[in-house]
Amino acid sequence: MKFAYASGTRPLEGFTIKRGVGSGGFGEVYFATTDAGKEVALKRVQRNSDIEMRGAKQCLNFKHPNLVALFDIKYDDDDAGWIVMEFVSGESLRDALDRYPEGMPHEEIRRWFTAVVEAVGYLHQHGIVHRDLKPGNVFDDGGTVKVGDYGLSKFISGSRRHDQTESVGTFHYMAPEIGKGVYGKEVDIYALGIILYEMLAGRVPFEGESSQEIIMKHLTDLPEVSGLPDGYREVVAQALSKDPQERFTTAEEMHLTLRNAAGWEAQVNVPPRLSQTSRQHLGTVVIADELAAKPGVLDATVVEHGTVSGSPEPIAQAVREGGYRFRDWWHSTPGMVQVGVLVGGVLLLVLQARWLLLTGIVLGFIYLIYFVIRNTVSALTGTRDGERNATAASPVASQQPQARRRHARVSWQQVARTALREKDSGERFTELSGTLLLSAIVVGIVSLVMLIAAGQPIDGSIDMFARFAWLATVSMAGSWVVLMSCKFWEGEAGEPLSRRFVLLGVGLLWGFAGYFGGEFLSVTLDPSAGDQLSSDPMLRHVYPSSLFQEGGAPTLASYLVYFGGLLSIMRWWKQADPLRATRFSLFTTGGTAVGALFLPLPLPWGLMIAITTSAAVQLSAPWISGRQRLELKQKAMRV
Amino acid sequence: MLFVVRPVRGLLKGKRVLEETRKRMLLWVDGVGGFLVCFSPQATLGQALPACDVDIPLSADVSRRHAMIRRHTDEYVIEPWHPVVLRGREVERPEPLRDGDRITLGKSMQIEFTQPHALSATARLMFSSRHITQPAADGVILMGDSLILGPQDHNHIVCREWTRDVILFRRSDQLWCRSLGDIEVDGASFQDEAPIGPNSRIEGSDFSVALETL
Repeated sequence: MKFAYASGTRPLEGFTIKRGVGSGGFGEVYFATTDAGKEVALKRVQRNSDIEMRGAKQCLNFKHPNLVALFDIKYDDDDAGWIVMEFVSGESLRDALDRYPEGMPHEEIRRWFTAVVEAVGYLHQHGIVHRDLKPGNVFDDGGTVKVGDYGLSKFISGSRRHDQTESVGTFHYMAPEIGKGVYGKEVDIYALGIILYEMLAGRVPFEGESSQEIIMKHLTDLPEVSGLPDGYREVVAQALSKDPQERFTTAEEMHLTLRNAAGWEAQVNVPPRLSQTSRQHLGTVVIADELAAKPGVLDATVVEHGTVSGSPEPIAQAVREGGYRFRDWWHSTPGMVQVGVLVGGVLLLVLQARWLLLTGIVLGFIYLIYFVIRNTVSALTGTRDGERNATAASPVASQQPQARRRHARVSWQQVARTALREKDSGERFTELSGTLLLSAIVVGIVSLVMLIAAGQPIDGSIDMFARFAWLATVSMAGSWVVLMSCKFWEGEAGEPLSRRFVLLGVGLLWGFAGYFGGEFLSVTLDPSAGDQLSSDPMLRHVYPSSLFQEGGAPTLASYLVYFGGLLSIMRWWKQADPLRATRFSLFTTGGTAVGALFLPLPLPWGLMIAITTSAAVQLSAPWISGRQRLELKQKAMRV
Repeated sequence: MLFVVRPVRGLLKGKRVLEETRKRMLLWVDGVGGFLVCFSPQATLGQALPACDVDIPLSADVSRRHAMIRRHTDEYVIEPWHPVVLRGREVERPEPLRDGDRITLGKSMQIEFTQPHALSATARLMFSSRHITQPAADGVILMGDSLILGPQDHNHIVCREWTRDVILFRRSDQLWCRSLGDIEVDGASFQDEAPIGPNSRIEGSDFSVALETL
C-alpha cells in the first residue's frame, strides 16, 4: 500500500504524519500526532473538496459512542481538505468476518450489529445518510464498536462506479437504487441487511467477478435466505427488498424486529443519551412494527409519501419493467451486438410489418377492453386500493407526523428546472433559433438516409428530388413545431393532457401543410404505385375507407389523422426536454416509429417522417451534458 | 574556520544518532501499523512518565521500572522487579520466556510474548489488554539480528497485502534492508539490498516503511 505523504511530513500545521492507514474512494487516511502528542486520524479528501467537506462539517459535533468522532476540518497549502478525527486502533469488522468464513457466532453478531444499527439510527435521526456502510468502515476500538467514514457526501453513483482502481468489494453493499442516483436512508438499511447476511452466512448474498455482475445481481437476483437461521431470515429478506419502500423505514425498526425475531435479549435499549425527540422516534417505531404485521397498512406509508399513488396497473407495470430491463441490457451490451439486433429488428419490421401490425392491433384491443373493465370494476367498488389504505392509516399518521416525514431532498432536476424557468425570453429565443437551424441540417441528412434505406430510387430524377424535398420539408416542419412548443414548456415538468391537446392542434396544421405540400410537389404516396416497401392494406381495413382513395393513396383526412395522431400520441416534450437521460435515445425514436406504424399514412412514408422528425428533435434540442449534470448535483446538495 | 568545523560536527552528530538508533526506534509500516523496535539485548519495562528512562514506557498501572526482558543468544529471560505473573504463576526470579507466553505486569497490564520466526531470535510483544506504549505503537519488537516483515503469519510484522518479504538486519553496526527486486531508500534506488539511516523511508512496488528515531 502506497501513500502520498511519508512518515514525518507535516502537510498541516501542528500535525505530523506517522503512517498511512488506508485509502478509500474519498482519499487517504493517515495516523498522525499533534505537536502536543494527541493521536488522530487525518483523512485527506481529494475530490470535490467543497461538497465533501460540507457533509463532514454537518457531522462535526455528532456524539455517539458507536461513531468515530470527528474533531476538526483543516485545509493545507494546496487547499485540499483534511478531516481530523479520532484514531481507532482495533480491527475492522472486515477482519473479524474473515476469521469466521462459516459465519460469526450469534453473540458476536449481536455485539457488532447492535452497535452499527444504533450508530446508523443516530445518523438518520440527524438527517445524514451514511451511503457507504460496509464492514471495512466498522471498527472494534478496544471493545467498543465504532462506525466511521460517514458524512462524506460522495457521488457513488457516477464517478465511483467507473473507478477502475476501486476494489470490487465496494459494490457488495450497494443498494440497487444507488445506480439511479435518487436514494435516501433506505440504502443504509439495505447495506445493514447485506452486513447481517454476511455475518450469518460468512459471505455476501451477491457475489460476482466484476462490478457489473454484482450490480446486476443487486438489481435482479433475490437473496438466497433459506439457509439463514429462523428469525433472521425474514429480517434480512425485508432489508434487502429491491423496492426501498418495502424495507424497514428506520434502523430502529429493523433493530427491534431483529431483537424480537432472533430472540436477542428483549431489553428496552433506550440509553439515557437519547434526547426527547429520539424517544418519540423510538415510540413510533414500535407502532410501525406492530403495523407491519397487518398487510396493506404499511403500504399506506407509501401512499402518504406521495411517491406512488394508487396501485399500478399490473400489465402496464410489467411491460414498463420489461422495458427497463431491456434498456439496462441494451446499455451493457457491446456496440456490435446492438447493431446486429437493430438490423434484425428493422428487417423484421420491414418484412413482417403486416403480421406485427395485426398482432399489435389485436393485443392493443384486448388490453383496451381489459383496461376499461378494470377501471369500471374499481370505480364500482368505491375506492382504489391506495386510497383505502391511506384512510386506514391516517389516525396513526396523525399521531406521529414526525416519523413519517421523509427528509426533503432537492434533486438536481429540480435545480435544473428552476434554472430553465428563470431564463429570459431573449435568451430563449436565441437558443431556439440555433436549435431550429441545427434541426434543419439534421433533417436534411436523415431524410436522405431514410430514402436510401427505404429503397427509393436515388437516380437524380426530378421525382427523387421532389420526394426528398417533401420528406425533408414535412419532417423539418414537424420538428420545428415540436421544438417551438417544447421551448415554452421546458421550465415545467409538464401536464400531459393539455400538452397533447396543443400538439394535436399543431399536428392538424402540420397535416394540412403536408398534404398541400405533397400536392404542390406532386409526390404521390400511392401504395399501388409499385414500391415494394409501401403497402399496408391492413390499415385500410382498420381505418374508415374515407381515408383512402381508390388505389390506397391517402386523402387529406388520412394526413390529418396521421400528423395529428403522431404529435398527440407521443410525448414529444420528453424528446425535447433538456433533462432527458441521453441526448439521443434509439428507444424513443423506435417507439415513435412503432407509433407511426399504426397511423394511416402508407409505408414507408409514415415511418420515415416519424423517424426523421424524432431524430431531428432529439439531436437538435438542447441537452444538459454529464458534466453539467454533475455541477447541478453539487448545486442540489448545497441547497 | 567555521566552514570546516560545521560539516565535521554534522558528521559526528550523524554518527551519534546512528548509534542511538541501535537502541530504539519507531517503525511505521503504511497500511499495517506502528511498532516500537528495541535494538539492545535488554529492554526495561515501566510506567510512561514525563522523565522516564525505560525502553518500553507503558500507559499502565505499573511501577516506574517494573521488569526487564533480556536476550541471551536466542533465548529471552524476564527479570521481575515488581509483581509479574507468568503462565498463571507469580515469578520472583529471572525466568525464561517461551513462545506464546502471557505476562501480567502489576494487576492488569497483559503482554503476549512471541518468537514467531524459527530462523530469527527476534521477539514480539503485543498488548492484549487496552494499554498502550508512549509513544503509541501497535506492538514492540525486541530485535535480534533480523526483523522480517511480510505477508505470512510467521513474520515478525505481518503485512497481509504485501507480495514479498522485507528484512531489516544488522551488518557491522549498520542497519540494512533486504528485499528481492527494486527498493528505494530516501529516494535512491537499490537492487535487493540497501543500507538505511536513522530516519529512512524504504519503498518498494507495493509497500512503504519509515523509521523514526526516538
